[in-house]
Amino acid sequence: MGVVLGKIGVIDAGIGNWTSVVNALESIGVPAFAAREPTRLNIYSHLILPGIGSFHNASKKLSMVGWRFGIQDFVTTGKPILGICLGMHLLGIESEEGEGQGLSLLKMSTKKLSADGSLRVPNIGWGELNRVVDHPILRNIEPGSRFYFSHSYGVERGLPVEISTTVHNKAFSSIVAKDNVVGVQFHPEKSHSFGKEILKNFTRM
Amino acid sequence: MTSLTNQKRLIPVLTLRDGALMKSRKFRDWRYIGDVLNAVKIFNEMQVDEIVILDTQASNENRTPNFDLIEKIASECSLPIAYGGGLITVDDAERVIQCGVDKVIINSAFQRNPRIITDIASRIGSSSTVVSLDAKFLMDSYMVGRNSLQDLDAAVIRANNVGAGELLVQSVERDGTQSSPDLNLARSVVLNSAIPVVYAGGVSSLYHVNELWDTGVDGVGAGAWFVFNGPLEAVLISYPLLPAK
Repeated sequence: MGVVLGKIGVIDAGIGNWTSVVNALESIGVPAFAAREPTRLNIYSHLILPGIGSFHNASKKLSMVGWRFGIQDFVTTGKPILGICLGMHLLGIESEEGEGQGLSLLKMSTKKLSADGSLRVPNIGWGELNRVVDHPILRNIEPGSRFYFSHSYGVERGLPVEISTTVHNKAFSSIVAKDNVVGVQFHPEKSHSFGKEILKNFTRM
Repeated sequence: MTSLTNQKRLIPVLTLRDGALMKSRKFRDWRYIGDVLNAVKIFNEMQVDEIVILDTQASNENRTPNFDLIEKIASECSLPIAYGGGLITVDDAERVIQCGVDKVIINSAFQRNPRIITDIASRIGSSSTVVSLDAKFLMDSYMVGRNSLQDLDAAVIRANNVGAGELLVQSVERDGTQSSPDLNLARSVVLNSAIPVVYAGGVSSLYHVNELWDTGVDGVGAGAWFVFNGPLEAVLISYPLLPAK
């Protein structure tokens, strides 16, 4: 319903799997492009920051070629940005995973998942979301929807930016957001139709 | 109210030779199944939990991975894919991830030099780095390896220590037989592993799957069960509709 007039930029800074995200968006009819130039992000209506790898390496890459400034400028115009997995961690301040600074767009930091319990770390597998606060990203997400997680680090629960939690040995924040900045710990591009709904909701923000 | 998490995964394991989908029995006796892209499309439509793709030729013949094919496979999937076969350098591992694959599976390279896992994990993340062990029971214990044998327990502990994010253990003897899983093998690996474990080999029913959940594994892989049907093993791609785990 409704026409998406936007143009989604999926950041290709060598720190994430942009192809899967572009494919997922294209499969729901949303034009998406690899965004490779930090000085030209204003051509996009939305940005997505995918992330695979380590916080330390990703943080170094963001400091190269002006990504930090480019992203921060984009965000100050009020247009939405979505961080996925490590991309979500990079929206915060810092991470126990390694050295380096996040983008400090959200007041949160990333910690190692608790190994205290019967579940193993990394958390690899499908999980459900416990909605804490209503948010457009969760529109039409029914109970029973499942999402693919693959991570050893996460944002602890209870922060003001928390939108939903998911349980591992301890609960962690699976979605965080403030204004136009959103982060999801899971991989919506790898979560079948459930994930596509999340991506669709993001493109409508 | 808490919600379910880390629901256990049931994973089709697809093996490739010459770009085609093949199925082995005890890691030899290969049968042609069909076009891998068609199979992957079907599994994607069935919304399976995850898919493992193993290129045994790339592995055995020391070839580099077929990146084009891997990219095509990944583009068919809105679900997680793990790829293994011929991965011996950090750059290749990263390149496979850039193709749209979520996890790389390392077997021989780990046997030759376990530290490669540390290097790969620090580039692509440990949750994207899987160590694969092919196990056989010899004399009085499980051994792993193709060219040289190592003790299973030692290999499991080593994989954990060098920073792997997940273990894939396959029973050589049960492979392709659909006879039943080697529960002792599954239990042994779980016992020595702090990282998640996926077991494959001999699984052919939900009863087997439930037995494996009881051993503590986080995932169950199956090949023959999902590509063959009936006593004459006709080719048919299938996947069970599962009740909530």
